[in-house]
Formats: sequence, structure tokens, C-alpha cells
Amino acid sequence: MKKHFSLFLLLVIFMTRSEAQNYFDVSAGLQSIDQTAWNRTIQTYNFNRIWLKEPMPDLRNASNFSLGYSGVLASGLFFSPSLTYSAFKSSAENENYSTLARLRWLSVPLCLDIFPLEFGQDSVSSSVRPFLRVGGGASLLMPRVLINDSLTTVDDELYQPMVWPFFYTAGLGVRYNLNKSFGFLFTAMYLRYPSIDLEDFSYALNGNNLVGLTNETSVQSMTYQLSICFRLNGPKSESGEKPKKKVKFKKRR
Amino acid sequence: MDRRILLRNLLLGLPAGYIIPSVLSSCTKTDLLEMADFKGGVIVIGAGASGIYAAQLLKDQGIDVTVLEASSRVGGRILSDESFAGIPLELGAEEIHGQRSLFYDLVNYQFPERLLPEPGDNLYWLENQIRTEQFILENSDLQGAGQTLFQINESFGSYPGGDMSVLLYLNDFPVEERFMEIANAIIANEYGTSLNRMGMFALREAEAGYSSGLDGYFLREGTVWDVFSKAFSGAIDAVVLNQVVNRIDASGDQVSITTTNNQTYTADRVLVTVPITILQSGSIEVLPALPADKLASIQNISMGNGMKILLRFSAPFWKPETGSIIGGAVVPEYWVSTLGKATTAHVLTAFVMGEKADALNVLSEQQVRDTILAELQSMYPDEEVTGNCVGVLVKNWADEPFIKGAYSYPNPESTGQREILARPEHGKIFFAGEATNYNGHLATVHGAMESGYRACKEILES
Repeated sequence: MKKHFSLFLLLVIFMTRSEAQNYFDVSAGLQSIDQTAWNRTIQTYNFNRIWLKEPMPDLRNASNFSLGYSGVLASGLFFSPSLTYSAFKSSAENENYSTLARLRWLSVPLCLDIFPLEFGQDSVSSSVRPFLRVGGGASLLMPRVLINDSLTTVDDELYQPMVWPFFYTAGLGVRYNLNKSFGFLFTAMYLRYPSIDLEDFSYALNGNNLVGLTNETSVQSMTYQLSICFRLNGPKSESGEKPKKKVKFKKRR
Repeated sequence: MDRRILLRNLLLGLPAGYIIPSVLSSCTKTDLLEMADFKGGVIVIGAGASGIYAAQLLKDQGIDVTVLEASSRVGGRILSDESFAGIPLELGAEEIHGQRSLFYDLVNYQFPERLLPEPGDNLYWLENQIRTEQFILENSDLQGAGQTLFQINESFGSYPGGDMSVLLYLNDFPVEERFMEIANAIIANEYGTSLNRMGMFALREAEAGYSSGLDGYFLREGTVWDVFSKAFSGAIDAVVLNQVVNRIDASGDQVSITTTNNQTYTADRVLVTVPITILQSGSIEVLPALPADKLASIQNISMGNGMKILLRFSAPFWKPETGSIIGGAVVPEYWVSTLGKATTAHVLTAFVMGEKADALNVLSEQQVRDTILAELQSMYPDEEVTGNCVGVLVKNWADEPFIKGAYSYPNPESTGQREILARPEHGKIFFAGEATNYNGHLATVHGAMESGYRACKEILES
């Protein structure tokens, strides 16, 4: 893990110090997840606690925030690591009784941005630049269940696991450069986690698992982000190639 | 690239990003009851904790439910008495086991101010002395054996050895003979039986599944049934009393249920929640006959005698901080049932299960009283015990004709049997009740409720 992290750091430093065109992105957006197991656990909670007037909703959407970096690798090809934070919440407020299932979700995707219209081009004439993004990474998930603002327990110990699932991702994006140092970025990304085990989530919420609810499940997710982009380096071509000097012709008289 | 082409691509691409999640959702079933098509009528046999809770769950799903109760009251093993000491005292289910249970959640929602963490200290009757836990753990002569016992009691869920009686295991371990009555009290009596009647595999099965927590709670005021009746009034309204079922016929399209007073009820499904002893007695004929493994499971799960004896005193002879006295030869555990409650009455509950209940069962009420008071007098030789006793109330659950005991326990033959007992039969007959809880919560109110939920889900998906 340390080795991979070191390589990643070296790559970022290399790109930052290179003469290439790099971006720093600050993003906000929406993340939606689609899976069955955890929501069945929540639905089981609701089904059993028929005395609660307000049921807990499913875990489905959350705002997300991220910091990203894009560094050019070659003409039309960028490397884009980022750090994304989401917090999914399912909460119910009943009279003198509150229930909250919270899933903090920190992701580190490492992606390649492929600008197919810019391969082999020395410069980009358009300020609107669509691209494909593919990659993968790891997430840190921190599920918590709170009843009346107190963390619940499993086997008499506070339920506060940390889970590190891997994912792969693919999606579409478009950069829009307002000027040479500032722009916008929109991405719509599909993420798939082959397996996430929320260790004892059903016990933490329901206190039992009599009907065999599963805590381990594959998860599909969509994220939509709008970013403000800052260009880090001096004026270079959008494709990453050094701009060619304008040739001045001598006028013959 | 032509900007018009680019814009067109974007317009086509962005909605796709929104469409994908809904497409993904349509590929998987996300609703807990998405498979539930059942819309018929259900008869629940038994108006105890599991029957009432399951009936309420079914009613809330729009199912037509009738609850048939053999006795003249609802509640099953939930029963209290207010006349004995002027405040309600539980004669049946009393303790709330842990914070992570359905029943704790229900009380915490309805009456949070009534939750009373198990009050007072545990005292132990050891070598003819009353000892505190601290004394046992700090006394050089006792601490080793004491620690061993307390540690063993927390490790049954991961027991690695072969099957044997719990008594044999403790004798071999060894737990010292002088600690054996305490072991019987904290291990076996809690499960409603005696050490020699429990099996290590069955105990491991129960302990490994137990997840509701170790903290104990009582109700500061009111009764367990108050909590139920407030939450599940709809189900209670559906109870028909004095209906002793003697036949369940599931051979036709519907289930026909006949009672001893020649009433016949029909429904699409039947949920049987009677105690295991009633199933064992054969008083309910089932058609078509239940499979052999089901019949075997019914016989393999044991339920023993159980008694609660309330003893009222004019003045307390115990110290104010006393919560429980554990390890008596006659009564494995006494607790001060008025501690933490708004009353001037002084009442001890004697909690006797298994062999020790069998021993008291053959005595008259007067003899039971005298035997218990003699034991208490021996524990407090310098105090006036017998003379201070102003009333005794004996509740012998073996005498209840439609219950016949306390609750099921992990006897050796019961290993792996509860899941078979819980299994639906003939697509129309379903089973619930504490004895069908195969998740470690047997013998508890919340375990009974969990089994009611499990059966309700099975019915809705049938």
C-alpha cells in the first residue's frame, strides 16, 4: 500500500513540476447509491418498529464534495486523482425518539481522462472539451447507527467500523474553460463496488438478524459533480503540448 | 470539433447519466416485501408476546387477523399482580435483556422514563456467607475460582469442545464445588433450568447468537403488559378468548381450525404460537400430519418448571444496596423487586427454575413459604426474617394449563432443532414463539417478538 502511495505521489509531483497543463478542481455534487441489502435492513427496522410514526427512509442520495487534480500525461490524456467525501443519511425523528443510520463515504478515485477529440492535436481550439473518464480506487466507509443521539452497540461494544472497499468507475465529463486560468468541469460517473461488507450493520440497527439480512453486497453508484477548475501552470496549450511560437513574416516592400 | 455536434452529444449524454441509476434500480428488488403477494386471512393461535406482535404486524399490512386464545386472558407468560403489594409486580416476564432488542426499543419509545437499569448490587451466597462480587474478586482464597466462573459464563458462545452436559463441563473445567450453586444460578436458572439439563452445544448455539446486550433493565412503574397493550391494541382487539384449539386441518384450500367448544374458524394461513409444551402434549391434531423432523424437533426442545414467589416483609432485613442474592440451594436467585420503585413496600422475588422448581412443585404453598423463609433466615441469621414476612404469593407456571412451564431452554437434544420447529409446513401452517427463536434470543420477550416478525414475513411471502 505504501509503495503504491509513493508511486502515486511521485506521479503527482512529476506532473505538477512538469511544463504540462494541470488543473486543480473543487467540486460539489450528488452521489446516489443503488443496492438492496442495507435498505432491507432499514426496511426491516421500520417494519418491526410499527410504533414509530416516522419511518427511516432508504439510503439513496447524498451531497458530495471533492478536491481533484488533473495532470496531462500525453496529448488528450490526463491523469486525475481526487478525494471525494459523501455522507449518506437515513434518519427518522419521532417524538422523543430519533434514529439515524449514517454512512460517511470517503473515496480516492484514480482516473484517466481521455479527450478523444484532442488526440494528436497540438492545440485545442474549443473551450468546451468532452472527455471519457475511467479508473478505480478505494473508499473508506464509516457506518454508524445512532438512537437518541447515542451510538448503538454490537456485542456490548460501540458500533463504529471502518470498511475499505475497492471500486472501479467510468463516466463522461466536459471541461469548459472560461479563460486561461479558470473554468468549469461537469462529470457523471458510474461506480461499481464488487463487494462492501458493512460488518454487523443489521445488528447495529435491528439488534438481531433473525431473518438473515446480509451486510455484504455489491453497490452501484452514480456521482454527478460540478467543479470549479483552476489552472495551475502558465499558459500552455490545452492539449499539453508547448505552444508554437507565432512566426512573424517580414513584409517585403 | 463543431460546437453544434458537441452540444448535441452533451445533450444526449447528460440525461443518460440520470437515467442509468433508475435503470439500475429496476434491475434489483429493493423493497423488503416486494415478494409479498399474500392478501388472505390469518388465524393466530395464542395471545402471548409472539402471537400479539405478529397479529399487529399482519394487521398493519392490511391482513384480516383473528387471534384465538385458550385461556381467559391475553398475555401468555406476561402477567402481573397489583394487589399483593399495592404496586404492579411481575409474575412472569420481567427483565428487559439488553438495549439492543425490540422490546427495549418499544419501552424506550413509549415510556423512556420507566426504564430502570438493574438496581442494586449482586450478592452471592457462598460458604454460608453473603459475599459481594468485589469481595470474591479480591479475596485471595476466592478470586481465582470466582474469576474462572465469571469468565466461563462469558465464553460459552465460543466453546470449542465436544457436547456434554453443562454440569459435566463445569465439573471438569474445574469450577470449584463451592461455586456450583452460584454457577447454577447465573448460567442455568437464567435459562429456566438446571446445569445438568443443559447441553454445551445447545448453550453455545444460544450464546453465540445472543446479540441484545448484557445490561438488564426493569420497569420503574407500570407493567410489561402495559407496554404491549398500548402498542398493540389493534391485535388485542382481535383476540377471541377461551378458544382451546384441538385441530388444525390444512388439507384443503383453506385452513380449518376447530376448538374444544366446537367452534370452527377458517383462514388462508394459521400461525401457531402456543408454548412448546402444548405442542408436545399432542392436544392439537394437525392434518396433514407434520413431517417427522418437525415432530422430532417438537419433542427435542425442552421447557421446565418455573416459579416466581413474591415475599413481602414489613421491614427489609437486607442492606439498602442489595439488588440480588445469588446461589441459594433452595432459590437460586432472589431479587428486591421493589428496589428503585416508588413504594414503601418491601418485596423479594424468589426465582426458581428447573430441578429446584420441581422440588418446590411437590410442596404445598405453606411448605414452599416455610422452606424459602428458612433459607433466607439462614442467610440473615442476625435478622428477623420469618416474623417480618407479611405475605407470600406463589406463581407456579407449571400449573398454567395452557402454558405448563416457564420457557424453553438449551437442552442437549435441542441443538439445531429450533430452526426446524420454526419452519412453515404445508404452505399454510406457520410457527412462532420464544422456542422457535433460533437466533439466541430464546426464552425472552424480545425473542418471542422477533419470531413473530419472522413468521409474519413468511406468511406475507407465502
